[in-house]
Amino acid sequence: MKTLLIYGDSFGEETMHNHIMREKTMKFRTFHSDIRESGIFDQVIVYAQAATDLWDQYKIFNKTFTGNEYVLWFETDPLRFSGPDRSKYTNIATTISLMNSTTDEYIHTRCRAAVHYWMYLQDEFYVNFVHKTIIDDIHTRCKNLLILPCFNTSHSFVDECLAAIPGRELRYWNFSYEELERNKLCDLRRNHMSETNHAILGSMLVDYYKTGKVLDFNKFQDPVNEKVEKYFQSLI
Amino acid sequence: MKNLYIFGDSFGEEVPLAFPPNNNFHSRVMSLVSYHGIIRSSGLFSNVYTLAEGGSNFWNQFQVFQETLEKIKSDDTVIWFETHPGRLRSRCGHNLPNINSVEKLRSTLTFISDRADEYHYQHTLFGAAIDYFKFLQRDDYDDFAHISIKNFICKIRPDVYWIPCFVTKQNGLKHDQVLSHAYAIENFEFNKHIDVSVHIDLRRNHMIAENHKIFACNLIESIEKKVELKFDNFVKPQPSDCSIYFEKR
Repeated sequence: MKTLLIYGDSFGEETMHNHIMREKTMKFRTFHSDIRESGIFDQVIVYAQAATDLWDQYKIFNKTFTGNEYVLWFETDPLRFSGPDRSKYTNIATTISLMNSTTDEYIHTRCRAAVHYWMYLQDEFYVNFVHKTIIDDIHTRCKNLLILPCFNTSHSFVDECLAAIPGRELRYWNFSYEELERNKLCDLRRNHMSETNHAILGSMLVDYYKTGKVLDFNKFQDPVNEKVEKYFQSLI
Repeated sequence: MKNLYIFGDSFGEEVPLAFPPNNNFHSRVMSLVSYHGIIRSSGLFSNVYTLAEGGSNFWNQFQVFQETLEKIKSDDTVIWFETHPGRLRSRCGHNLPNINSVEKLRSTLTFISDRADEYHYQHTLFGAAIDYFKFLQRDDYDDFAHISIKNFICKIRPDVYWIPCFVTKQNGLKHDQVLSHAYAIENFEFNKHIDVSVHIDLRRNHMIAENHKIFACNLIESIEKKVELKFDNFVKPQPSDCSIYFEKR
């Protein structure tokens, strides 16, 4: 039985954790389908979850990896907060925005704690040391491992990362995150990518698992055949 | 002859951070017996360098170790007083090493609250640290980080002599015979006579002189004969010791 386990953050997840967005986006095709349909693996299990830090995913890995599976890891930012209620405190910007919008005292207190942690207490060397230790351990234990850098701060980053794709697509559509915010629109791209780039990623991954050909991040393209309205919609 | 390097927290420090030279109690505290002096006079080492610091977390001491590493010769002895994994490491590091417990932070915060203008930065930091301990800290992450750092140190210096200071039960970090037993034994006795928590505690390394002597003997024996360090022969203090080691706040 050949199994692929997928770990990581929102770049690797298969089902969006927001249920309204999930319903709207399930019709979009992702790289997961390409891998499944290639028939390379008998089973593909996706443990990646949006806004997860490496430590949380590593704990899931420790519980689920038996030693023989193929592993595809979407490596997140080392400075992502490693605390309880992870999806609430994914980065300082979203935490401040949640803190300012909530009337729930409990959530407000925890947001404030997380923001203060980032501002006053987080030690980047320490966080990077622990991150590297985890990545090294994953490398040691997995015979068939592919790690993709999601951010330019990810330790597997060389010259390109997946986080460059959403920005490239926005530039092509002449659209901006500010505009998104101003018009109260939601970014419905699954894994932050249009279907165009999902197809490219899917094809590169299938190629990698069939032939061992290294992924080329320069192959990602502008979504020339796709309309911006498809991915940016109001949920109200 | 070889040198001795000491890393760790308050159990290893030589000049108590709580009583620096400008403190009223400094000379009194420094006149008390400590195991450092006994080790020095044992003639086992030509020099004893103490880099341990009260309230220091494992990460900060690891940084100090890395900075010192090139001076440590291969035949020198390195002793490490291994602190609690849950102690907070922060970017403020050496400026505020005493970020180690909610209780301690609360009492410091109360003290500096009346001087908010003077201590604005510390006030914010302590508040952040209290929030961290209350809402964000995760034991499993701290334990993993602690074990990772320890493994890293062991790769560089497999001969580090580890002295566990606190009881920990996690896999890979299981300590039940620890140096803080002496502190617990002493506090139990002292509390029969005074309320330790409302007094200034002048004990060096959390031990009375008698236990410093015992610890020094245990340590020298363990290093010389390469036998396990004993933690089971610490003695109870006498009622008269109260006036030596405690002052009313």
